[in-house]
Amino acid sequence: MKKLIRNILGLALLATMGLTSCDKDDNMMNPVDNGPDFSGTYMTADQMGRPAINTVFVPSGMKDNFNVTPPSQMGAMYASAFADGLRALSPAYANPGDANALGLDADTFGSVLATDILTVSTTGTTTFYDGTNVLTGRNLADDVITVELLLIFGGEDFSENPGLTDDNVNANDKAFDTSFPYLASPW
Amino acid sequence: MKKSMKFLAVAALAAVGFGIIAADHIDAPAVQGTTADITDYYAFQGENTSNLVFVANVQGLLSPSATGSASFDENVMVEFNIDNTGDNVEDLVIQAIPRDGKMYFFGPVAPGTPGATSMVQENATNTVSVDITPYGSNAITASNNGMMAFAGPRDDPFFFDFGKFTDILAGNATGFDANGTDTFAGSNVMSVVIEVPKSSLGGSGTLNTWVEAKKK
Amino acid sequence: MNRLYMILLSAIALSCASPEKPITNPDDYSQYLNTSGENEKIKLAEEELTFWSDKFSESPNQYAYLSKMAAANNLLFDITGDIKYLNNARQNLQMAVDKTGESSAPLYRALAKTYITHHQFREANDCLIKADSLGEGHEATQKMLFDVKMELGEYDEAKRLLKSFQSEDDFHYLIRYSKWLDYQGNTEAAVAQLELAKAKAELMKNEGLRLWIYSNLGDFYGHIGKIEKSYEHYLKTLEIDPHYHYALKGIAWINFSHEKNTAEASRILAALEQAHPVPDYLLLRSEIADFNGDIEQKEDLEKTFIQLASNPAYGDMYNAYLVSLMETNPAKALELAHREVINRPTPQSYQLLASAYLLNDQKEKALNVAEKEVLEKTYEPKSLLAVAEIYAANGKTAKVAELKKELMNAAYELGPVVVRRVNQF
Repeated sequence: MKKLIRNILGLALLATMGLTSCDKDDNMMNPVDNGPDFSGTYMTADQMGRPAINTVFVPSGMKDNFNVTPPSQMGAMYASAFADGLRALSPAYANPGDANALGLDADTFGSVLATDILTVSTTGTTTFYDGTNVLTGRNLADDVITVELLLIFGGEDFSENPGLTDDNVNANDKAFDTSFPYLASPW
Repeated sequence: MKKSMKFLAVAALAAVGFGIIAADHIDAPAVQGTTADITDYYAFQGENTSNLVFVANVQGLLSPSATGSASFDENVMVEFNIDNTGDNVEDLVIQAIPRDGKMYFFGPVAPGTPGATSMVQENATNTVSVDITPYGSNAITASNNGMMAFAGPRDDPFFFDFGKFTDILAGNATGFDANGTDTFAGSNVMSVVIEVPKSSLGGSGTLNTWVEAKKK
Repeated sequence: MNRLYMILLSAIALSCASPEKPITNPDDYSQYLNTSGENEKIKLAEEELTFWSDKFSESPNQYAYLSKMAAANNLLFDITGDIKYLNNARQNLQMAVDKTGESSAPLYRALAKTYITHHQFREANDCLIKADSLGEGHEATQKMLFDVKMELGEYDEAKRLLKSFQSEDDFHYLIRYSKWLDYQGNTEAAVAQLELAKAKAELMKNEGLRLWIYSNLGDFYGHIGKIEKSYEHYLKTLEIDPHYHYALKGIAWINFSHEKNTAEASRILAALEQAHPVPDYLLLRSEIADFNGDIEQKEDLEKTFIQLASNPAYGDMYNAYLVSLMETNPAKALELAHREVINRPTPQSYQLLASAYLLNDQKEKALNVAEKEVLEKTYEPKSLLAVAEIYAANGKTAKVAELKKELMNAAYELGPVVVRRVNQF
């Protein structure tokens, strides 16, 4: 007789694949000791170096890959997309020879940004930008967005596109602590 | 004859009663969690200037009422990456992974293999673990091997008028407001904070660093 | 005349339906029926909604808040069943999509999810295609597209999608592979996959996924006749979330279908209707009234269901059930069945259309649709019961007998009222 109804009693097709991976699971769960179990392989799901770079520069279609690409490979893969992004976003890179206050043109700055790492000094001041030091770390209180806006929109001397170079939110809504763990208590 | 057919038809329709609702399965659960979303990353010199502090925040925009039930996902490892040779490949990692109300830190330690796939470096000599601070309690910290550790809810330290920026990108505004709105005001995040001696990080003055959320 | 016939039938059915050995024990779950205590989850969700709504009122261009409001609205819909929350969530997300220049794949996915809950699968499909063209979260989009393609009857595309994200370590793949196996009629294998997914959810200690998998296993163990395991999994669900109404509904079904304990099933349903006032429970209550021979109450409950489920706020959510209750209005039944076929062209929807044709005295048309679009395309017992009715009307008694044998194997899932009808063949 043709099988018309759901295979309620038919065990024949009970997925062999299913049983195999079940066995594997059982082995994995062998208790080894009394401490917490840290076994297993962990895969990158998200990553971050500099603030807001992914949000602003990475086109939606590239985000999945960008989030799992090792930084050592990012430059080669994303520099040109970032440079295009800069030119599309900001009139400050519209003309040949345009550069930002660091003296970087769209291609060079795009290439710097594409490798999404945060450089940190172990010998001096750490700051995203304090007027003197550039990218030697990131403090909790650094107004990183305004710094990035200035470098994207501000042109050679931070004077271009004034409406776009400061979001006018200059500090956190709670004071930070000078001691560990530094962040403010939750609301 | 006609009548009995009609009855059968009614029966056929009515048969589709509650049973189908009982068999009508609930919508599939959300396919993408947000527990591995890194909202921010900080690296700065500590109060003790011989130390560096690394901060990773996950799970942004937590309201105060949602913060109490927020928790770290035991399948998500936060991994700070440190390149001290200038090739953008990590030479050291600090791994933070939660288990049963505690956050365990391993490292700075050399990664098994650099890149997207990691195992927990359980044999690291630098380790510290700390009770995850519950919402509403004072910050619980722990130290070991000259390292200090914290994990738990904090005020979101980030500030940005993200709404106005979105308007600008979408072509609905031409510039920021004179008085911006901090999108993240009054909201919390789940923070992982680790302070380590600079001497444990190697290098000659400048490190390349980044943070990853890795999922099991 | 008709009613007399029904009462007579009921009497026959009652006399031969001996209750099974009870599996349920009210001591296990009565604590969850107490609705006097405030549901802490509702309070938290309301606070969450108020918090973000207030912030959004103050700063109406902070679109990130719209996603938070939508999430709170979705949660409130889940807990209370009040359809206005689902509509609000959809409006929040639609606004966020518009205001962000239609540039966010995650927003399109969130919007698609509200459409799926609302059974607006074509709209959900459109959103997911936009999410896919934007790119971010590609695999999440593919998984949701699979869900929607299954509802749209596009099984080849669903199969292709399923292969594209195949991963035996992934909870979200396993539950979809299970759905595929169930669609193919292989319920035992579907359950095996759900059991693997259960192990993953437990390993991940993920409460939301555990709730989902325990309650679904509750259903599926029922489908394969393992009622004790079904009951056990509904209880596991309630241990995590005492307000998880879906599990209590399952326990009510065991009381009714397996144990024929209509008083206890009714007690559970009364508590559910208090805590989670949705039309669904009226249908089971009417089936219980039917089983008890109280035709007047059965018809009253059906009328109330039709009235509530026809609320425009529900859209087409309840069409499938409304079609089934339109015996006094054959034209309306046919109209709704046509709509359901357009919204959701699955074999189950075609079965409704075939049944509606039969109701409209178009037995040849009914047979044609049943043989072309239902038979061997779905293995749902309910659908095959309808096919049997259509065969009977067309005088094909051999085919009816063949189906009857198989239907009797699904007695528990069909429930005693339907089994009574199967016995009439």
